[in-house]
Amino acid sequence: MNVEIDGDDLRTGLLGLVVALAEIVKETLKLQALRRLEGGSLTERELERLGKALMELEEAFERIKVELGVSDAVRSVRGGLDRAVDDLVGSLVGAERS
Amino acid sequence: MTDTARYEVRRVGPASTRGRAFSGGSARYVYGIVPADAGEAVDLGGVGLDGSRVYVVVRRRIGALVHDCPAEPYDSGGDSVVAQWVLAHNRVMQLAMARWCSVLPMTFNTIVAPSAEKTADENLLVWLEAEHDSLRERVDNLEGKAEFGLQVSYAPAVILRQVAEEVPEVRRLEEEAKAKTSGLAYLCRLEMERVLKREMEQRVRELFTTVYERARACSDRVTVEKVKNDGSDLRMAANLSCLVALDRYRELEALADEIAGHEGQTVRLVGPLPPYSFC
Repeated sequence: MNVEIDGDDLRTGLLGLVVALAEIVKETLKLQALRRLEGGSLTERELERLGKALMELEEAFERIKVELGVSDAVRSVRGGLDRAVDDLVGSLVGAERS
Repeated sequence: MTDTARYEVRRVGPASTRGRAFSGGSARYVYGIVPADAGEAVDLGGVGLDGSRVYVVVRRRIGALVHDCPAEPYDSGGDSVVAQWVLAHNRVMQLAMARWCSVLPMTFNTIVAPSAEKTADENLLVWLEAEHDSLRERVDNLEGKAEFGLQVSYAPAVILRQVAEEVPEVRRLEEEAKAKTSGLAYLCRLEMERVLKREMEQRVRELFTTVYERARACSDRVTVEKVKNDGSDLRMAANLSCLVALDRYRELEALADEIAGHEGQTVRLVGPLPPYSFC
């Protein structure tokens, strides 16, 4: 069977994958920021800067996804990853139960 | 040497002569196992796959519901044909439940083929004999019981609204975000989202536990199936298969009504079904 690869599809898929992975790193940064917030180790000024940086990062992501036309591709990669993790967790839990 | 001398295959009436692609054959398609008494011979008529004649092969106190077929699996290119077969298989199970109050269903496409030394009937009888006690026990355990599917879903938007209204931490963070400069307000909103998510997960877990415990209270057995989401706005919290004594079905129905009475929750109760999940 021949697999036909459309140049545009490949570009969108690859960029979508890269942006999706970068988004996951961004989510981790957000979690870390919340830990700092709860930990109380940062001054109000530092927290303001951290919050602002994250907000700008979030906006930049939204802009990049629109500009590259990869919003759907990113959603699909992340949906696929979520499902894969669900399946993995499900099989581990299932193995434990049986 | 064969076991034919010791076993006896009982049938009623002549083999069906209706012209069908899958009529007759050297193998036996097995629908399920029913309780039987030696000497009892039953013919359900042409109710099987493609109208095949379904009859019971009895070995001591158990019987196998079968029809004659070629020694090859049912395989079709068309989904609609397969759907017809599966429906027919299910129909035979329903008939068996109505008649014997108990049936141990076999998977679709369970076929006993002849081997070099034995006919399919002989092979079937050898199997029924070898598994007799265990099969009879399982059939007895299913007597008067049927399977019900209980699926409970929730509308995330409704649950989120409830959490936002009821959890003080969410309201506090909301107020704080309004009073703060943009960076801090953003962090407050992130925190608020996290609290919302955590509370929502907690509520969904509680919903599952409640449904599961209550279903178990009126069922013989309950198995937890994987939750499925169909892409609609609803998310599934619990997908249970319940083995229920038919006289306790009302309790399950009442439970379903009660769950559905809560805002943002929907329930699907399907049954009575043959006990496919408990065989």
